[in-house]
Amino acid sequence: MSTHREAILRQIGCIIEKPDFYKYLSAEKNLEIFARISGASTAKYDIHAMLEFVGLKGRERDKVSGFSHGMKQRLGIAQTLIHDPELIILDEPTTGLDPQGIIDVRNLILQLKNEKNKTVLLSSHQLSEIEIIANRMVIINKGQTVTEGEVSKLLNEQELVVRMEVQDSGKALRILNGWSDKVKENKDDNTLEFATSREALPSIIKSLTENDVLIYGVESKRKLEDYFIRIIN
Amino acid sequence: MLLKSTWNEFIKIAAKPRSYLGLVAITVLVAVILFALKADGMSFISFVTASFEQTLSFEGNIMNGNLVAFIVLQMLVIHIPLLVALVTGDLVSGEAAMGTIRMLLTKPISRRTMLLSKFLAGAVYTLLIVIWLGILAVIVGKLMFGVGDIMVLNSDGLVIIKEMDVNWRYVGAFGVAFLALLTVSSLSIMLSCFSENSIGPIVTTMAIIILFTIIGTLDVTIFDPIKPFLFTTHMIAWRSFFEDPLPWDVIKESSIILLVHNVIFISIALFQFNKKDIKS
Repeated sequence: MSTHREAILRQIGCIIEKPDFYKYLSAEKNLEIFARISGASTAKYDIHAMLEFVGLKGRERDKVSGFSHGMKQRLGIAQTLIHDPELIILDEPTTGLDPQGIIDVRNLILQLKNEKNKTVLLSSHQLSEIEIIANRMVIINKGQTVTEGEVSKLLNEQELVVRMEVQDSGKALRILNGWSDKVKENKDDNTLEFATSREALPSIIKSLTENDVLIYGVESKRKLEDYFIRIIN
Repeated sequence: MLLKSTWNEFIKIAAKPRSYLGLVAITVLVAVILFALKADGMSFISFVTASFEQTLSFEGNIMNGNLVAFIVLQMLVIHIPLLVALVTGDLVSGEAAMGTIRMLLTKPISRRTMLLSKFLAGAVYTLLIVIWLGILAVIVGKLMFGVGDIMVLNSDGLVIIKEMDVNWRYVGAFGVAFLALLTVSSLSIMLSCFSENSIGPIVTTMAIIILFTIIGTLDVTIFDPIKPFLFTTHMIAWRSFFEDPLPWDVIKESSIILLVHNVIFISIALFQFNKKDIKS
C-alpha cells in the first residue's frame, strides 16, 4: 500500500465516517477541487453531470454550508465517483440521516451497484440497510471475522420467524407445539409467533388446515439483526 | 500534481473573506499614512533634518514619492506578518478542524505534495501582499508626491540616494521584504501542522515574532550570540538597499539566513504532517 499508494487510490473512492467539505465553497467548486487532485475532468459539464446523478441538480452553485446532512452525504458519494474508481468504500453512509435521506442514499448505492457496476464496500451498523443493499457480507466482531458469504445464503441458513393469525389460537397452539418448541400465543388478536425452518413451513400450514384451523394470515421474516445476534452470541 | 494541488489551495484562499482582510488593511493603512504625510509631511521631515540644518541646506522636493514609499515600508513591514499569518496559519489546521484533510488524503496525492502545495500557495499570497504594498507605496506615493532624491537616516548618518538610483533599490528591498514575510508564512504553516484549530498557529506566530524582536532589541550580552540567527533580526534587511555603498555582504547573509529558516520550517512541517493523525 505504501509503495503503490497513489496507484491504488486512483482505483478507490471513499467517504470515511462523514463527508466533510469546504463549507464556504459551492458544491461544484468542492467537486472541482477533489476532481483536480484525482486526475479527473474538472470541466463544468462533467461536474454538473455528477451532481445530477446524485440528485443535486440545481444546487451546483449553492454553498455547502447550506446543505443538509443528506445532501452532503450525496455530495460525498459524487466525490467518490468523480474519478470513476472501481471500488467505492462507504463508511456508515446512512448514519444521522432522516428516513427520506436514508432511502435516497440507499437508492444511490443500489444505482452504483446496478447501473454503474461499481463494487461498493459498505461498513455499517444499520443491518436492515445491509440486508437490502448488499450481495455479500462479512460480520466482524472485536476485529475478528465471525462469518462471511452471500447475504441471502447466510440468511437462508437461519430459521424463519412466522407470525400467523388464526380463528382459534388455542387449538392452533396445541398443533404447533408438535412442530416448534417456542410458540408464543396472543389470545387478544388470535395470533401465534414461532420459529421454524423454511422447509417446514408448508407442512405446518397443511397440518393446521387438515385440523380445521382457519388461517387468516401468515407473515414470515428473516432478520439479519436476529442472525447477527445469534452469530455474535 | 503539485501545481494542480497548489491551484486548489489558491482557490480556497481566494474564497475565504479573511484573505482579503490583509489587502484591505494594507490599503487603509497606506491611505492613512499617505494622507497624514500629505497633510503634514514637512513637520515629519523637519524632525529628521533638524540636526543637519546648521550644516546643510535642503532644496527641492524632499517629501517626494520615493521617500514616502520608504516611510510606508518602514512603518508596515513590522505589522504585515500578522496579515500573512492570518491566512497561512489556517492552511493546515483549518482543514484539520473541518475534516477536509481526511477527504483530501483519500485521493491519489501524497502528504508531501499536499503540504508543499500549501507552502507554494502561501508564498503566492505573500507575494501578492508585497506587490500590493509596493503598488500603493511606490506607485501611488509617486503619483501623489512626485519624484525626487531620497534621504535616509541610518546609523552612519544621512544617506542621499539619487532619484535615478532608487527604483532598482525598491525592487531589491521588496524582494528581501518578501523573503522575510515568506519566513513568517513558513513558520505559521509549520505551526499549523501541530494544531487542530486556526487561532493557535496565528497567535503563536505573532508571539514568536514579538519574542524574537524583543530579544533582538534588548541590549543584553547574554542574547548576543543568538541575535544573528534570529529571523526577526533579518526581517529589516530590506533597509540595506538604502545605504551607500550597498552592503551586499549584509544583504546576502540576511537572505541566506532567511532562506535557511524557510528550509528548516518546511522540513519540520513535512516531518510533522507525515505522521499527523488525520483519522480523529
